[in-house]
Amino acid sequence: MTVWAIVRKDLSIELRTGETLSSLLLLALLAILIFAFALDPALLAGADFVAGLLWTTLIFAATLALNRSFLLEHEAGGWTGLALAPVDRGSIYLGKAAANLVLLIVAAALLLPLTAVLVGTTRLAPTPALPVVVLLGVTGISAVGTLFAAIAIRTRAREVLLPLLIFPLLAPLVIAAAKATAGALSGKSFAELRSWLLVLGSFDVIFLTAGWTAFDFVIEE
Amino acid sequence: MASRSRPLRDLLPWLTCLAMLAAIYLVFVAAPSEREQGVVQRIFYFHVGAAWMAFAGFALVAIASLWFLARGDRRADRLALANAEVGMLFTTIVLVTGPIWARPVWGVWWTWDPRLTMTVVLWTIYAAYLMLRRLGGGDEALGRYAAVLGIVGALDVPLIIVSIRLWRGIHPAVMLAKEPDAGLKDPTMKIALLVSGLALALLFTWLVSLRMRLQKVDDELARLNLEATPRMR
Amino acid sequence: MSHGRPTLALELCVRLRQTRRVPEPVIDARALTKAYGLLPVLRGVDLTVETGESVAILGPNGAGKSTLLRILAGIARPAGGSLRLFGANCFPDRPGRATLARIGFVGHEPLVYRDLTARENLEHYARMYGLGNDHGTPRNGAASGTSAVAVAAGALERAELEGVAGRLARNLSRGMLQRLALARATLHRPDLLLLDEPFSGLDEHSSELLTASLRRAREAGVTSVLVTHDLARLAALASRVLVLESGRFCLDRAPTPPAEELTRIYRSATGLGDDDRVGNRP
Repeated sequence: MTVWAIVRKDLSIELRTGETLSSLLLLALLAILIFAFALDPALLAGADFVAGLLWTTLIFAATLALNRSFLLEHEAGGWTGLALAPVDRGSIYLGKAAANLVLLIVAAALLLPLTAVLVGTTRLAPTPALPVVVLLGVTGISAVGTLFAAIAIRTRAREVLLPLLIFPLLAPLVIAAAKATAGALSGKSFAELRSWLLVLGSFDVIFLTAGWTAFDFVIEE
Repeated sequence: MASRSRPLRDLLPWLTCLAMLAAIYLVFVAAPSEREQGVVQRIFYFHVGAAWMAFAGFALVAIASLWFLARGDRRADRLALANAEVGMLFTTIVLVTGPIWARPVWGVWWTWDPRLTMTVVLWTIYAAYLMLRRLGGGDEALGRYAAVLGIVGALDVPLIIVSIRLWRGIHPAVMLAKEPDAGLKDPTMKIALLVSGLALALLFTWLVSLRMRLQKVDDELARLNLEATPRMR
Repeated sequence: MSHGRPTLALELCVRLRQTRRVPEPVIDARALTKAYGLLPVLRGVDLTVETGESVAILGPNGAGKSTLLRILAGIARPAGGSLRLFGANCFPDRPGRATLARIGFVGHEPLVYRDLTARENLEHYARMYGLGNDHGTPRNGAASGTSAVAVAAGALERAELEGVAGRLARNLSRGMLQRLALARATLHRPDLLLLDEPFSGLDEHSSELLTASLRRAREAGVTSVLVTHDLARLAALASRVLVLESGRFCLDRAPTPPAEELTRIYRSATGLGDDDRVGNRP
């Protein structure tokens, strides 16, 4: 399956070089520190702050990971190698999105406890909804990010263009993910977080479908 | 909004002027002053009209983008860009007139009221679209990339609306909530609102058609270049 | 211009008529145009290539040769005209998966991932092309019962790259990269080979390997289109030569004239002087 071939390729490269994940985590950690210095954790500690900080740093760090994911393709001659293959172009999108998702899941899994420890307190009460919320959130980031990173990599101003393109579109995701994470860290159950989960789920479905459909137009020269 | 026949196109500027004059008269002369807010409330007529067109422009960008991806018609691409530029202009008007109104009335320049917040997000998506066009380089596929953004942006709008309302604690089912200080009791006020809305819509259309004509000239130039025959030996 | 699928009966009739007539050309391009932004690159290219032909395309830099090749490979989309590959409509429609599976392309870039080994690169492409029966039906040429790994190993052997199979692509020499690129392009035994200056940067041994494999492909009936500056080798590689200049073909000669005559014809066709790159020894 094409999707698996691409995921396998990207993860092989990442396992070998480890560049993307390490710089992603380091950047996120530094961002947490800067926020902590600028915003005084003593005054702001609590589930809301932890959630807000987590998603802020995840999104900024994600742009790094996304850029690198496509830089990989760019260095290998752009989309040419993938465009030549007799595969459904939408599968290429899903493959890249899945590979990016794996990286983001790892990052989130490490950043969440880290954020909680550094700026949170013992007042946190995580519930089973937490991993679901985080998973839905990073899926959305990957869905939007993969599509537009593919576009941005083709342009001259790719590093600055990617955040410009995806931050506005991620607005609903940030709101939903941050609020839902805060809720999941304060003991809220699935039922109580239903609206946010619905927003996150819809976001993922809509954008994965959009990316899958639109990738044909992105890949051609 | 395909290429207009000449008479209609020439008529458009005059219609717009007429409508704007009527609107200005109604808004500043005919409509009574709102009791609590005073004179500054009159900006509301243009603020709301501009907001309608800002959102309409967004929808038009998406529709033109779909048309472009489906048919590859250059006109659709031009339409999308024109609507994006004029839509951006109108969104900026909304975001500027909003605080001008809010400051005397509510005492603050900005509130995170759902409508305004949504308009800001809309503005950033417009900005992203225009930046993509500007920074995208001479890639022939740029029109397609922009079209993807235009469509995806429109798909995002319902999610933006819902999430912002939830964020502000307002139940999303209350979709058509009126402006907090709408209170348009006087019929003259209603007429003023409609006419100014119409005037702004005409202005929007006229600006879009101008922008499209400009793009068409640019494209003609490119086409002439393409068709130039090299000297055969 | 896109039509719906004809009904089965109609399709059968069309097929019957086609078998009685001359078979469809591999490439049937009419009036192709392409521009990058405002810069026109192709200004109306007509090209018909029959099965088994080996065609060389010459031209000064910037003539549009690479662009044309990329359009034929299905990775670039023309602005206008029409294109049929293997009888299938590839413009204004899009090239189908079946068509893409029959094309092998070597471009300026080797199209390999620097951080994967030579073997891993080929295995990846084998998987992408659905080669090996653990990932789909075997293509013509690939023996059933092979896996992607085995297909890749076979290709490495043919390209004489087994020795560096475990080396990262970033550590391969230019010649080896080019051999790897060719291995990648022929992995799926394509019926049409599109090669963009495949000899550039190759040492003598690699050039000989390449020439030999191209000759083998020709003998096997594979159609090939070659963009090159190498006039000396051309006669051995191609039975027909075209010259592309300023986005149009201005010369089409078959059989290929010998090197000296070709240089003369080329110069007069393009109006280029003695300092033209084509006349230089590689």
